[in-house]
This record gives sequence, C-alpha cells and structure tokens, in this order.
Amino acid sequence: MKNTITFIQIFLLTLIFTSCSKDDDTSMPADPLAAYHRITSLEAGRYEVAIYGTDEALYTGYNELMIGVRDTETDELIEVSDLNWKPVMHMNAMMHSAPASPLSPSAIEAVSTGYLIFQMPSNSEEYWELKVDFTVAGTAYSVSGSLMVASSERYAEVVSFMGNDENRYVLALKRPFEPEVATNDIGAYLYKMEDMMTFSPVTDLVIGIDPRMPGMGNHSSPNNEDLLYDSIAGFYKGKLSLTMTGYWVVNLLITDGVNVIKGEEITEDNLQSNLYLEVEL
Amino acid sequence: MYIRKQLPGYIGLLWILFSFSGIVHLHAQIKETETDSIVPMILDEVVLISGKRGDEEPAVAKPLGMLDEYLLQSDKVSMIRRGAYAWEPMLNDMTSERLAISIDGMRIFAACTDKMDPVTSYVEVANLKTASIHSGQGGALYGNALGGAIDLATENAGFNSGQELSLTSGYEFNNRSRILGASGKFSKRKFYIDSDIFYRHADNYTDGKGETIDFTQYSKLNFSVNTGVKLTENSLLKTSMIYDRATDVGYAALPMDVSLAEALISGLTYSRSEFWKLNDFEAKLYFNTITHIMDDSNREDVAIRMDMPGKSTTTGAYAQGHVRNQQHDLLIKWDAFYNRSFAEMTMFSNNSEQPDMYMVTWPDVHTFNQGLYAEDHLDLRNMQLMVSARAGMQSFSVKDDFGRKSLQIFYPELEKEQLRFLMNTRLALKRTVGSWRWNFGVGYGNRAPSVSEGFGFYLFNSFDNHDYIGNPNLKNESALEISGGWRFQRTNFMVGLTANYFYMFNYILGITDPDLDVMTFGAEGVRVYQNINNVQLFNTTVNLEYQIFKDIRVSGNIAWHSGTIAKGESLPFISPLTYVCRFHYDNRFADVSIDFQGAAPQVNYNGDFGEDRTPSYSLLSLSIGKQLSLFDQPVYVKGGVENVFDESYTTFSDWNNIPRMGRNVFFSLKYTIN
Repeated sequence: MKNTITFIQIFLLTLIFTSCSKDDDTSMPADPLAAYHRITSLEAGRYEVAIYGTDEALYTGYNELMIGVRDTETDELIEVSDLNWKPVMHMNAMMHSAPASPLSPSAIEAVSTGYLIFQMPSNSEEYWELKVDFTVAGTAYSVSGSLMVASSERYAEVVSFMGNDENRYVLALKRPFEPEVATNDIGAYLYKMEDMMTFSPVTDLVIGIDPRMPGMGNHSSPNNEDLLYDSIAGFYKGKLSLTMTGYWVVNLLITDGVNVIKGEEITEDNLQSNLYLEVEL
Repeated sequence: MYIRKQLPGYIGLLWILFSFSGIVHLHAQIKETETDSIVPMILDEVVLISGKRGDEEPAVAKPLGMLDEYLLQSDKVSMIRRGAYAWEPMLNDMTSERLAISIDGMRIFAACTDKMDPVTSYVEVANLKTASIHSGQGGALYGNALGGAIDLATENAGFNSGQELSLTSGYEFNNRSRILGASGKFSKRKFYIDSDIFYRHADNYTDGKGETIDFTQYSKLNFSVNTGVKLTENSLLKTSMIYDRATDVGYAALPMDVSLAEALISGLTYSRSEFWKLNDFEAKLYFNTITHIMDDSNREDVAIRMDMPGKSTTTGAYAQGHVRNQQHDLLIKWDAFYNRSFAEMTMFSNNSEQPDMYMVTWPDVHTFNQGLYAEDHLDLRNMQLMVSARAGMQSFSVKDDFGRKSLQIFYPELEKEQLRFLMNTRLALKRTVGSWRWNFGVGYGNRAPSVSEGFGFYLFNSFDNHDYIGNPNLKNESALEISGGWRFQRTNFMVGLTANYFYMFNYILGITDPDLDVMTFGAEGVRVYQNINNVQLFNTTVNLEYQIFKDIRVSGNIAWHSGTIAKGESLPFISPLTYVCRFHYDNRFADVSIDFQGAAPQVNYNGDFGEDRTPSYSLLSLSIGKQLSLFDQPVYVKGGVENVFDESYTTFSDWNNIPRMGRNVFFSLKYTIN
C-alpha cells in the first residue's frame, strides 16, 4: 500500500515536471517535423540530411518536401548555408535530372522547403539519386543517396513532351489536388528541359484545358479556366470543373498565345488530345 | 355476427368473382358545383370518384378505373403518358410545376426528377370521393398555382353509418389487368374507422396493330385507413393514412423503369363548427414521404446502366375558417409546407477499372412555403361576386454540399438560401337571368420555380432529347388570366361555352445553351431553364347536354386549345381540337353508355421540343352495367369494350408517340355486404 502511494506520488511529480518542461521548450524540443513523413536521410559525417514529405512516399509528379540538416552530436537541426539539391535519374543507358525548385526557408526554423517533379518511377535497375550540398561553418559538404519513387497512385499527373518548338517540357499537377464534383482550383508547374541536367521554369505560356469523360461519350464540363502563370504563387493557376465522379481526361492545349506548343483541340473527330492529364474521383 | 357466419362463403365467392371478373368503366359524372348556398366555386369542376355506397349510386360506382381515367373526364384535364401507369395530369395545358395538386388539402411533391410519379399516382380510386378541379387562379386556395389546382378528397365512412364490407374485382383482357379490392367500415355515433386495400397487376398491353408494347406492365398495392372521433357535439378529430406501393412499373416511352414507387401519406385534422368568430373551422397537420427508385435493370441494350433514386418528404399544416353573414361568406386560410427533395444518379462504369459516375440531381432542396389566403363570396341580386387573394413567401435552401458545389460549376455565385414573395388574386362574378348564365373572371398570380427548374442537374428529357440544367436565378413566373363562360339551360337541355386566356410573364422554359456539352448518351443538347415573355395560352370548350327521354341522355363537348411562344411558335403539349360525344341510357334494368371521342390532327406542334404532327383518331367505347342481388346483398356487374374498332393511334400527349392500347374488353364486379 505504501509502495503504491509512493508510486502515485512519483508518477504525479513526473507529470508536473513533464508539463513544465514542455512549456519552457528548452531541454526537450519536440520534433518540429513530426507532422511530416520521413522519406529518407543522408549521412554526411556528423551531419545528417533529413528529408520529409507531405506523403509517406515519393511519387511520380509533383512532391513537396521539407529538408533539414541535423547535427547528430546534439541531435538538433542546424542552420546551414548554400543548401542545394539535385535529383538525377540513373537509367540503364543514360542519366537525366528532373525539375527541382530552389530551396527556400520554411515556416519551421532551420528547415527548408522545395519541390521535386519526378517524370518517372524508380525500379530495381533504374533509380533516382538525390545530391544535396550545404555548408556548415565554412566547410562544404556534399552527400547523395538513392530515392524510391513510386508511380502516382492516381493516373497521369505528370507528362513530359516534345513541343512543336523542338523544346522538351515537363508539366506536373500541383499537389495536393483533391478534386471534387465542383469547379476546382487547379495548379501546375511547367518546365523546359535545357539539357539533360538542366530544367528551367516556363512562365509565359497558356495551358488550355478541356476535361472529358471518355466513358460518357466524351462529355465535357462548362466554366473551365485555362491555366495562366501566377508570378506571386510561382505556378500556373486555373479552374477545372468536374460534373460527376468517375474517370476524367484533362486534355491539354499549350500555346504561347499564337502558336501551339503541344496539344490538340477536341472535336467530334478528335476525341483526345495528344497531351493530357488524368483525374479520377 | 352475420358476416362471420358467412365468411367462408364470401371468400369462396371472392375467388369465383376474381376468376371471371372485369373492370367497371363508367364515366364519371362531372358536375359544376352549383348549390343554392352562397359558396359557388365558379367554373370549378368536381369529378365524382367513389362508389362506396354501391347500391345507392351505381352509375358513379366505378371502383376499378384508374384515377387518371377519371380525371380525364374533365375537359380541362389531359394526361401525358409515358406508359400505362402514372400518367401526368395537365390542367389548362400546364403540368405539375404550374399546378397545386393535393390530397384533402395536403400538399405532396413527387420524388422523381423525370416526372414519372405524379402525385395522382400515389392514390387509388377506392378511397377517393371526389377530385375538385379548380381552373387557373381558382386554385389559389391550395397554393401558388397558375394553371389551377386538383384536390383529391378521400372518402370516409362518417358517423353513424353502420357497418359494411365490400369486395371488388376486375379483369381487363388487353393487358391481363387483374384488380382486387376490399373495403370495410365500422361506424358508430361518435367513432368511425374505414379501410381499403386495393391491388392491381397488369401485363404489357397490345396496341391497335396487335403488337405488344413492352414495358407497360405494373403492379400497385394501396392501403388506407381513416378514422374519426367526435370529441364534442361540435368538434371532431380525423386521421387519414394512405400507403401506396407500386413495383415493377414499365415506362415504354422512357429509357428507364421504376422498381419501386412508395408513398406514405398521413394527416390529422381537427374541426369544429365554431371557433372564435370562425365557422367551420378546420386545422390540419400532415406528413408524407415518397421514395422513388428508377433503374434500367430490365432493359437489355443501354449505353450505360444507371440508378436514379429520389426522395421527397413534406410536412405541412393549415388552418381555415369562415366568417359568414347574410351577404358575405369570407374564407380565411393560413397554410405552410416544408418539403425536402433529394435525388441522385449513379452510372455504372462500363470499364471496371474506372470508378462509377455519381451525381446529385436534386441537391436536397428544402422548400418552405407559407401563405395567407382569403376569399369572399358576396351574394348580390342575380349576381354572385367572388374576390380572393393569397400572399405568400417561399424559401429555398440547398442543403447538400456535393450538390451545391455541382451547381456552382454553372452558378459560382449560387447562394445557399433564397427567399421569394408570391401573390395571387382573382375577381370572379356570375350572373343568372332566367335560363341564361354568364360568368367572368380576371386573375393574376405568380409562382416560384420548381426544384427541377431551379436546381436540377443534368435531368434528361427523352421527349425533346435534351439534358436540362436548373437555374437558381430564375424570376418568379406570373400569369394574367381572363376567363369567361356563357350557358343556356332548360330542364332537359343545356348548351354552354367556356374559355380562358393566360398571358404569362417570365414563363419558365428550357432554352438550348449551345456552349454546354451533353451528359446523356445520344442527347442533342443541353437546355437551361430561362424566363421568357409573351407566352399565351387559350382554351375554349363548347358543351352540350340533352335529356332526350327520361332514361336517355346525350352529352358532348368540343375543346380547342392554343399555346404560343413569342415568335409564334407553339408551346409543347398543347392539345389539338378534341371532341367527346356520350350516349347514356340509365334505368332500373341496366345502365348503358356509348362513348365516341377523338381528336383532330395536331397541327400546331413544336419540333424543337420533340413534337411531331400527331394524326387524328376517333374511338368508340361501350359499356353496360347491371345491379343484381346475391344472398340479398347488392352486386353490381359492369362490362364493356374500349376502342371497339381496335384503332391504332397515339395522342399529342403520348410521350415519344407510344401507341395507345388497342381493343380492350373489361369486366368488373362489386359485392357489398351491409
């Protein structure tokens, strides 16, 4: 009985102590990235580059990521400078990169944010490698590791294509995109491939959309708005109307205002554009 | 005790009757309500339905005809037919959105987005006494209607009328329609209860060319109970309940059928002869719910399988009373109803890897309507004057988020709620001088859009082959109405002319939007409800009645209708010239009727709305009925032939020109045990 009382007293004390320390937020910092899913971490001596995502895994298409460098000796996230990343796809015959945003400070201290757009999934023979560079106290570090990229659970949310202007482009839907039977806000990123390792954002094209249901006699919806680049948001914005649940093909027609870069008008004879995204709800 | 002793015999008899029975096909008598009191319902008609007291009024004892057929006896009513069942009534060439259809004053709203279940399909003639047909603003007593109102009055036993059990049975040869019904009542000085159960089952019918019209079958079960309790000498409480269940109903003219249409209709009425300064005070509380399951599981070739269930629930109340003095009879009424309408559509993907297509077609619209109505009858010398007015408000609230977001694709500014103010008014007078009588009326009224017109989402109309989108921004539709009549009446002869004219403002009609893409396979386009002006409707009828001898009466009428849109185009579903001629012989040996009716070709049609020129037709029908006696109890036997010459025909209001029934021989029996 006495033991029990002692135990309860200790237990209560512990509780009080724990709650006090939480308020102070000094000795035991809660992981500020707890709300995100840990994707991978890359070892660089005493530092560890931790990569977190909004999803549990990486998927083809747009992936918003959080990146932080942890000092393994103090187990704290530290401020670093010159933080850069670069994804590279190692295919059997060739290597290429993928569109990647610059890394910018996030709302969380010592954590940067950015996105990667994977054009293809990885498999047992072909894999994505992510190279991260950063500088701590004047010392430059470079670390790399492989990434597992799964096929998007949904249908095509990313397309790469050769434009009529002989440029190669990558277009990806901005995620998260949870379409409803409604007029949905839709966002997209458009990159031009300068060479195999360099992608630059394209901001001056018009991405025309024409959603259709092939299973419903190619039914389309009204009041869609073509995607135009929003320089403040940093991506293309438009409106996509979906009149019912089911499988939709979002036909694309990309122009520079005069010339067609890629895509086709949908007519009675041409039921699908040669460039499209897919949406299912 | 008497009944119990004889029961096995009656059950045996019932089976015998059922095995060789037929349908009663009497013509309902239409009478203008002309009473000597100062409550003349000017220009209104009452179709008598019930024949519960079979031994007393055999000529109107038609327990087995469909209600739809009874209503057609009014020359202002026509029926849109999509099959053999659940015809949609039109009054003055206007359909349900423009009418107030009620049962004992209780408002009921159909649950089908495709109008396959008009309110009149949820009742059965066995428990109805009358159908009052109020043309135009004469229907404002029942709600904000432009075309008029149809109020169905249920039959009840009343107090102190004894006990009775009656059995009815009928058979129609054309579609092997089997009809079986039973009614019972128990009535004491302060209490009554009566109940009916009625069952119909019909197979596909055969047209005049001898071809079977697939998907014209139906089964219907109707059960009702009425009770009454006298609380005091001057006050009483009544309850009524109707349960109706139609299953396996085919709609030959449509791409889909109905596996279930179910209604529960209930009401509680309190009435007393005096309350405050009101006479004949009546207050009612009611509730009804309708479930309608539309599917295409019986159709072999469909582009895509779909289910379209709908549900409509209405709660309402009213209170009314009269203030009377020597000259005036003022009726004051307050009424309100609250309706919820929800419908959805699931289309099953032909590709099993793709998800099914789902839509909300009625986004759980909550409609609340409240109104104050007053009418005053003023009795002047040789002249009766009636003035009526209704002021009301109606609010809509779109409760389903999925449906609201769907509609916002078309109307981004769509608000969750909207409020409308409605009014109706009418002035009518009637003057009688000797054998001559004139009447004249002028009225104005408006109405809010229906749920489909305001909030429908891709509702397919297979007649004009368009998908329809509702428009929440519609203005109220209104009508200016002028009606008049003249009649010359002697004891054995009557000739009369009636006419009415409607000038409609903001008439609600589907207008093709070429920018919208169809949803339904094979549809031609998408129509959005819009307000259009300068729509005019005109209806006129000439009536003739001549009592040649004491037993022989000849009656007939010719009706002409017109409906035009501004550009001179015809409105859809406007009747061509129609005529009816009836020869009736009635004495104690038998009653015989010979019926000749037909229509001129429909020359004013609107091809844009799926119409074409409907050819003329004429039909002859015969019937004979006789009152017999069995075990000292009355048996009424009736038999006849419809469409004697097996004419192959279709009318202006047959959806997609489905052929009508060919020759049909029917029999019916009604056996009453007092």
